[in-house]
Amino acid sequence: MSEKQTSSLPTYLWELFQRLRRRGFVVAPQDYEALRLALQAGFGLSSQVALRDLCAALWAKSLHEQETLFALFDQLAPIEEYWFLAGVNDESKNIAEPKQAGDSGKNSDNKSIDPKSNQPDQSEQEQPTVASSQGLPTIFLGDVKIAERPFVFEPQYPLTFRQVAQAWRRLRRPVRTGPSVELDIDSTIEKFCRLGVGSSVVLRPQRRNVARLLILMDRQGSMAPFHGFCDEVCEAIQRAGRFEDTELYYFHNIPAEGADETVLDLLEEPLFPSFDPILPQIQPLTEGDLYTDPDLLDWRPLETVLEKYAHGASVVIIGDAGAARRQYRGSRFLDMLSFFKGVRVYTPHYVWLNPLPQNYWEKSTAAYLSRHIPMFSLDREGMYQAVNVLRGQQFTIEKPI
Amino acid sequence: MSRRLIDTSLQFSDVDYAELAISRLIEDPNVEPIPPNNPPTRSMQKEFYLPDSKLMDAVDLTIALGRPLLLQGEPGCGKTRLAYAVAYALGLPLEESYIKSTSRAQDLLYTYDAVNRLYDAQLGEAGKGSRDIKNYIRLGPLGRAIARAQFGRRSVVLIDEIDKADIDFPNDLLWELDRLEFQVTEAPEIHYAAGSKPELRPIVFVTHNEEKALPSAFLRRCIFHYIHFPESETRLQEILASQQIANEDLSQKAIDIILKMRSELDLTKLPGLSELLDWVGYLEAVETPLEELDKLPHLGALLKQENDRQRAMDHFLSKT
Repeated sequence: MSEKQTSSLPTYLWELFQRLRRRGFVVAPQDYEALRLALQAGFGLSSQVALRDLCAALWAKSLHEQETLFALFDQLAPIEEYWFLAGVNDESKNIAEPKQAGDSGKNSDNKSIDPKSNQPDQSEQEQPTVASSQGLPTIFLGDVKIAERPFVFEPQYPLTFRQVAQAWRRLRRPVRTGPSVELDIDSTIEKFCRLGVGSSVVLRPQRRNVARLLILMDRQGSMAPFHGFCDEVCEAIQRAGRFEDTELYYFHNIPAEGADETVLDLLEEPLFPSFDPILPQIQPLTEGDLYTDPDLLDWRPLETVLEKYAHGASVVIIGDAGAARRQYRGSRFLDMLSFFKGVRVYTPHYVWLNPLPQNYWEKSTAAYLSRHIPMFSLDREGMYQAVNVLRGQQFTIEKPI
Repeated sequence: MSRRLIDTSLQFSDVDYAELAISRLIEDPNVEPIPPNNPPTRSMQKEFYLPDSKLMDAVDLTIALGRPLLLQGEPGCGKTRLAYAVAYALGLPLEESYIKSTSRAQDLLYTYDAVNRLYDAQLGEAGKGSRDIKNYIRLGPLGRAIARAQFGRRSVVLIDEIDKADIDFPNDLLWELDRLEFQVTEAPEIHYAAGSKPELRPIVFVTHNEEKALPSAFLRRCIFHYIHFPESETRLQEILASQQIANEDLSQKAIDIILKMRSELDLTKLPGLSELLDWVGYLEAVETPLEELDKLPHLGALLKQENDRQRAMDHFLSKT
């Protein structure tokens, strides 16, 4: 054991490990130790590529993570550096020999570091030299390592796939449907007591989640910066939410348009209107444009979609509601209120998720709207609250529509 | 710490798989209960499989470190088949577990048949067996592998399509996979442990189709390997040859077609290895003449979607 502790790995492997941790890879010190153990057992010693693959096998957990690891490894690994893990060869023999007495010689040959395997790297890498004609010293770039892929980009969203899945899996409407396969213990005991003799057991259908979800997502314009994030969230909901049905439609700015603006005449203060006095007069509106694709090309009328999917479902709207540009537009606000009145005809369960945090809503349509409908920011806490509301929990809003 | 001991006694890459006989006697995994010694054997058929060197390294690493091997890759690239091949190559019994959406982690270890016990208890004298709970405990695949290890024999365990189960399913297995021991809750006297010998640790394969994200605590403990579609012609030719497809001209032409499909066409679902094998296997069986292949016969074996089929037809037939 003492020999193990003194042997150290090349520093770039530790650096790689650190960077992976910073990027949110799930690796712990035991996994670094696992690399050392694997090297001691003779894995990953034949070439740089073998070592890279070994790191990937131990530390990456998806194809995407593997790509990231490869890129980082190529950045960090020195082009030519011979290193020896102290006692590797001896130890690998110690481990291997007792069990494979016959071919330990062959094994240790394969497992020892072969300096030649690093040679091709060296010859491939051109070493540009700049010869100066004015007597300045020659610039030699041979030692400068230029990584093939100098940057490794990967999206880091405020919410992980799993967090979204966990939040939305709490939205359940379990109903017993399907074939009777589950043992109903209470009824069985009751039946036995009643009949007093052995009889068949009572089975009942299993519970299934019959909750349905209709997601409407604002797209393009001010939403452009949030496309990636919102897509990730929707994908997680669709893939891991386990609903009976999840429908996703896109809209631009507002899902419904053309509310009856004559109600505005009833307002006393037309310039900075608070719509509270005329709220009861606003009529439900279900005329609008939805699209099945994120590029907003495949059009569907809002009314048809609501008719088909919104009955008794949970409706989730994802959009910035003017918060990204800190805009307030009276006409849009009115349209939105009319739209939600329209949605309410189909289902009482609806929430708005805003990709911007709450302190950005100020003075925009979002701030006004959040007085009338449940609106949350699209983060972990907001999502949990949204699911609570969709589950039917009481949520106080200033002035419900 | 015992668990992390390195075991290099067994290496998949040491086995020359192509040279193995087409059947061999391996311990029968279906014997219930598991005999402590002298287990009955059964003749197993060889799984035709051609692992590449990276995959073999990953398997060796799995065995050495005693961690589960998490296999990912396109559907039909041979994730599940690997477990069969390894079990055959090493002459170990294979315990299979095909996960369903209703699977519970405990089912991998054991199931307790309370309903049957209840029935038997009604029978009076004839159902005396119901007094002993042991008669109603059946070990699951992982449970059998652990029990077998306790008796000093090793097994290969396949946990297929783990992402089909509930998202917390893998977390419920952490302790058992780490410690390789378990206790039957309903009958605490039943207890199995693999002990501390690394050379008896079950070799665990987990396949994953990325339909759901797995919990990070579980992922951390796995060795990861992604099986890529072999993009080189010679490699594909070798694979087809290893699957007993003898007509080289036919397979060469079919490989050309599938490689073109994968690189030149924008398909919804790329045809994978199993589709290629199905297609070539059938073409060979019905003795399709070589020139017929330009017309893409029996394309349904290769492309499963109508619009993909249409695209392929347009692409290939317009050229000729």
